[in-house]
Amino acid sequence: MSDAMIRAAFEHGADDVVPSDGMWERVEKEIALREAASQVSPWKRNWRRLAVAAVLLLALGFGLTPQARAVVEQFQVIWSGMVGGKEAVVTYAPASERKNPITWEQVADVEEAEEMTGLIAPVIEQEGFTLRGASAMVTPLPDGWEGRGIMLYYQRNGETGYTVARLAGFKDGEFRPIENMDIQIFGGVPPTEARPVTQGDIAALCIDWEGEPRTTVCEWRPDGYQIAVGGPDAAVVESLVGQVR
Amino acid sequence: MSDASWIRRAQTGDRSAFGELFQAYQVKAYRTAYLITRDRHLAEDMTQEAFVRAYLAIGRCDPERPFAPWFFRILINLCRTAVERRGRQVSVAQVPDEPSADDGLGVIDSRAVVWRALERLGPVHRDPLMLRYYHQFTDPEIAEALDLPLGTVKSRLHKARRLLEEILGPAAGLELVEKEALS
Repeated sequence: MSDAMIRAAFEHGADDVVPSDGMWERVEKEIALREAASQVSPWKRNWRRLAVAAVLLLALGFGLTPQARAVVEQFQVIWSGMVGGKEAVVTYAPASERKNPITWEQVADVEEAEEMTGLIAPVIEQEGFTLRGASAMVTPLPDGWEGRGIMLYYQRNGETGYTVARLAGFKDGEFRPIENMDIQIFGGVPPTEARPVTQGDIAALCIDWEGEPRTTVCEWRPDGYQIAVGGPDAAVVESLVGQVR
Repeated sequence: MSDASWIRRAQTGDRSAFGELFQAYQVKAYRTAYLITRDRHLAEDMTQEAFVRAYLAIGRCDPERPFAPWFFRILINLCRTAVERRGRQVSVAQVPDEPSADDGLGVIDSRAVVWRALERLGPVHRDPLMLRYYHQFTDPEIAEALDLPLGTVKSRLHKARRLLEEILGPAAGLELVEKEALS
């Protein structure tokens, strides 16, 4: 059998298959949407704050507590108290104190984030939120641990800046529960306030940054995983506590 | 202008330059997606998504290398994943109705006969053949597009041709050769 015959057979298999009109317009529109989702600066700043807060919570959360608490003492304590019956502390330090860079990689869709991390993507269950993008991270931590996370970006009634993340500790081929609610924030401006917020039977720790852009991040810990939601409107963010599956 | 020039311009954010690449590859991309998924709507969705992803990742495309293997790797991965997710791996029994290979006058369309044999191969062996003979990729380009070692590509191509001839059978093979010689 000749090469030409095989080629002709493939051409036969698709010879009446023609793309519909307007595909380029749809491609351009989708590109513009996704680029817009990644370039809105308030959204991006909010997202970075959430990423920093959430990941450092993770870094301090499982088995590293003695060392972590020693380090924490050197930093500015923003708040300390009880959250859901457990001790928690929120501290701040300049970016120069940061030891391990944490990189969130923007991915094409939720499925890619799930494949990259092995986590199930967190989904906001309230109406009015529209998914606009996703990121994922796998960050090496001391003692063979990895921090893994998925972050989704939402618009709420056309307003950008809302994010939700699921984070977990990973070691020896499996996910491990996160034990503590200590949050250490590096870089940027220090948060202005931290406070416990309870919705139903969910106890969360919420942190505010005033100024421009205004940001609130709330974090809680169902089933050993860490959930973090963030956005510009504190009331909206607080209403999301426990509203993520 | 060459693909390399369009890629370089697209990497500076020139969306119209990427549009030139789209125009150059959209038909072949759509047909490739269809050959893998056997579903026109799914093929259209995957083609569109592949171009979106390619644009967003164009910064990682090396303009010194051919665009097609890089792009078709994105497309093929999308199509394979979509087929798996939808459970739409088309078996021989589910292959959509096609015109008979016989034109009613007793003359067999060798293209249709070979195409049906190709459908029976399965993606592991059909996809390398598609890239070699439909896209005229080199072995290294097939390796890039399918994310396989070069040696694996060579062995799959060799086995695919052998399987194809087995499916067609000695008689069919001979008949096709004769028809090709007469055409």
